[in-house]
Amino acid sequence: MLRTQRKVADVTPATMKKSKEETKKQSQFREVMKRLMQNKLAVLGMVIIIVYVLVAIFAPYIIKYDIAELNLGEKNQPPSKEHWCGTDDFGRDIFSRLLYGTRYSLGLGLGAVALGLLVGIILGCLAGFFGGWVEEIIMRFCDLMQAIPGTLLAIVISMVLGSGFVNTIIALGIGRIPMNSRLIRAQFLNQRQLEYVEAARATNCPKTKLMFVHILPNTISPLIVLSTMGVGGTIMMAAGLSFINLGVQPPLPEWGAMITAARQYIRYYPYQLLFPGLFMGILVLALNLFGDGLRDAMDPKLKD
Amino acid sequence: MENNEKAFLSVKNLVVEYTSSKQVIHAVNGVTFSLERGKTLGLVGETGAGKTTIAKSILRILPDPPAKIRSGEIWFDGQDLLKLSDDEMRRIRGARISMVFQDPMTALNPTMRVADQIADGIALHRGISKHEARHKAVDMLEMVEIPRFRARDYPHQFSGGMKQRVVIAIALACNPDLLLADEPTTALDVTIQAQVLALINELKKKNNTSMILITHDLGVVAETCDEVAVVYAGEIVEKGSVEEVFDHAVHPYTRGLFDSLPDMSSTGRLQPITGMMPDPSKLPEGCKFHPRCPYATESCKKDIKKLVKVSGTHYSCCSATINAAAKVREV
Amino acid sequence: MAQYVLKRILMIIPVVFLVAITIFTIMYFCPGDPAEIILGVGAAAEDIEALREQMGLNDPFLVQLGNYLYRTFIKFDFGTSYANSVPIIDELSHRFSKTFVLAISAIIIEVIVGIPLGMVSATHRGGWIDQLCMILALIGISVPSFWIGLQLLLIFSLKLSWLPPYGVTTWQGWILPIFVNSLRGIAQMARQARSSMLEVIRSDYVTTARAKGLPERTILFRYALPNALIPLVQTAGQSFGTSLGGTVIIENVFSIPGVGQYMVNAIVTRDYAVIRSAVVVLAIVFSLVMLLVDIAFGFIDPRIKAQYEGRNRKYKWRKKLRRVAANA
Repeated sequence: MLRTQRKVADVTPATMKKSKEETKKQSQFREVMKRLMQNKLAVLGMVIIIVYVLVAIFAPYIIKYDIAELNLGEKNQPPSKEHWCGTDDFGRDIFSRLLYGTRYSLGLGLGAVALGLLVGIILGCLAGFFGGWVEEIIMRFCDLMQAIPGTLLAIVISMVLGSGFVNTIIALGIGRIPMNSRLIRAQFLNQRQLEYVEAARATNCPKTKLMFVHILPNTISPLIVLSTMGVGGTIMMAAGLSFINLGVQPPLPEWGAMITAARQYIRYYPYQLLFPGLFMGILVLALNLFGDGLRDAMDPKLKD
Repeated sequence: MENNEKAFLSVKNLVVEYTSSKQVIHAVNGVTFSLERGKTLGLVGETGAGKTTIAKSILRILPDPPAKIRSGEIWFDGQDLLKLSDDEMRRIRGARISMVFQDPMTALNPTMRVADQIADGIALHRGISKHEARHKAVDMLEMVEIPRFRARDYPHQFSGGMKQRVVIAIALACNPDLLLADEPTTALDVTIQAQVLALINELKKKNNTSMILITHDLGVVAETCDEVAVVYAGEIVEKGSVEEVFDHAVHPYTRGLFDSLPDMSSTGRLQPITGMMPDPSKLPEGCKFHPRCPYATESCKKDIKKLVKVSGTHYSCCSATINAAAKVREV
Repeated sequence: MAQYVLKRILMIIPVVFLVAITIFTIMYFCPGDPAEIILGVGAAAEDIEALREQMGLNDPFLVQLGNYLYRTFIKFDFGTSYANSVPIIDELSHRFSKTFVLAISAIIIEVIVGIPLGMVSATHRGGWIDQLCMILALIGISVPSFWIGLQLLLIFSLKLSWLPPYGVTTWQGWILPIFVNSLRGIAQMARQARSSMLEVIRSDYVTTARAKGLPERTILFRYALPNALIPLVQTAGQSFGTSLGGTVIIENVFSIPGVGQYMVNAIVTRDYAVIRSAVVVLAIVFSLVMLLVDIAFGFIDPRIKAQYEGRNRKYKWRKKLRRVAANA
């Protein structure tokens, strides 16, 4: 990882030649994209992710059945032409609920990761840039958060906040902060000693500009990979929370909540349990494939 | 001239390629040279010219994949190393041919005591017990001027120069007949460089070891080598005895190398070679040096150049300058 | 080395305290009044107020925190459950062993299955073994463990009746929970081990070893493996945290009466005292395991060990030098 960073730094050493720097950065981005596109599995992952995102956006227009309306006359039907994944114990179409549920699961994953990134980056920048007592406090805070296993922390926080979509995002996002800040800080410590930072300092560049415009872009690439993989992990953890009566709760069609609801019928209607897990597994697999591909593309040395 | 029985080491037409998913990198393109027992050959050239690949091919320790020896023969003491089985080759590695690596910082196993790292090669090739081998290893350490009591230390407790001495001790532990020294001093401070070179030279003389010294430092070559071969883009462009090449450099690239050295006696500006080494995945046709060569003619862009005798043991692959040099000599 | 171990053990004490303080503080903001939860909705306001006073809920935050720490760490009294007034420490102590077995066996399986898989993949890079292992590992980190658990429960317990569907009264009962809890860890470990091994195989010191003429086996086990293991120790430690948290869900899937199940029941009844104590206990166990990991680190990586015994060693040299000088 360190090696990549050095490479990145070599590519953008001068801060004054703004236009040149930008074209170089662009070409570097293009290089990564080119390598990414050559990785078939990563492209597959990307296509699947795009499909899920589209489904999440257009879910209300795609689905054939109402996701909330009860239809007890058609309850617990096995998969059929009308109901591709069958119906649940209230007679709701499981396939429609799964499609609509993409909004919740993907939203939870993206939201929590974004929250973790935002706060993590800010704290990491502050710690890495200022050092001293600021760094000490932030790092000890991270130590403390990481001394509590992630699942337990999420459980405790969602106990305090209560269930619900936004609250669950917060509960899951907080757990991701220490990891991100640590990474950013470590990168900052590396970058701080490089010449281009010195050069920017010498030109009396404002601190915030130096921090966010010059240093941050050079530290971000490992974080991108970590976060891509993190979306998948977070979706699974959100489902786990639903499973123990926290997080997003039925009747919302979040996949974890659907698994939880289907659990009591496991013996009689196993398909109710099967499909939500498959839906989630495929998305998380796609995210991981994409994340793996991204990592290889950003650091080709690791691959061969 | 390449007489298999007589020459101690003779490399013929060695071709090595690195293949990645997209492209083929032509690292070594038909290298031929030979070396007598007890002599030192300097391989000179820019970074990325293929010098290290040549050395690793001789030891057969290229990472495969991606590296592949496409063709060639490497005759060492009457046998073709490339035809040996893995087991036979393993018995030669470390025992008869050994190598000193470029970067002492990473060449030692961080989780093993230095004496053990020297000892395991000795135990293997001499067939003696670990315990005896460790005693010999400590003797080796003393030979490279590292005090005995540091034998149980780990590499991270040593300075760069000391680590390189340990690497040298590993390489010389079994009195090899051929030592491949890959830029043994590049990573070291200037003062340490001289010490390490002197040490290698001394040990080499003691055991009548042949050596291939890879370097881009022409001064080091002048001091330690008997013969020199200039490598450019995976080819030897000029070779001969040190006197021949240093005093009568023929190839424009070799001359360029000498011109880009600072010279105390002249006040003129340095004359660097213009341009860059060609991308080894897209080598130019004809003479690989022609895009940078001030004397390039149309034929240089097409015709593949072979090494041609200049005089004595002096060979060059640049026909244009050879003719000119011959004329000068006649006059 | 003793210095290093001692220092690490001393460092654990403030961590344990701070973890307890953090959890207490977060849980302090839990919605709802414990007194009301205990007495039930509709209890008389005076009764609730009396209970609040008795429980010390009307004290300032710092006083409550101090009391909590005093009771927890000095008297080992975690209070009683809101639901049934059973001392929490009793429940925890007889449930803890099951959770610990579940978590620790998961981590052991991860190490003994995951690391060799990763090593084999790395040494056969690009081959079909490598690709198969890596595809399986990718799937392993992509499916939620409780879902896999439920599917396996359906197949092996309900359909085939090979394994008991709940409880761990027999050894067969342990099979599925342990397998499911270690699944993700095995996958993660195999991926990590592979990339760590690949990095090491490419390193210069492995080339040096090869140049010495050592056989591949020696190179693999004496040169590559010890170095590849160093980062994996950390992975194993963190993975223990994951599997400890995972027990909360796995115990719920397989109806295992461990700490996790206790916690999940408490979540339903909003029994904050139980949750707080369970989380604190699990977090402390996690810290202790991380301590062991750090110590293991010191043993494997001489660079860490040396930081702590540097002074000692120099002293020993001096003694040796003096001896040498005396002999000469």
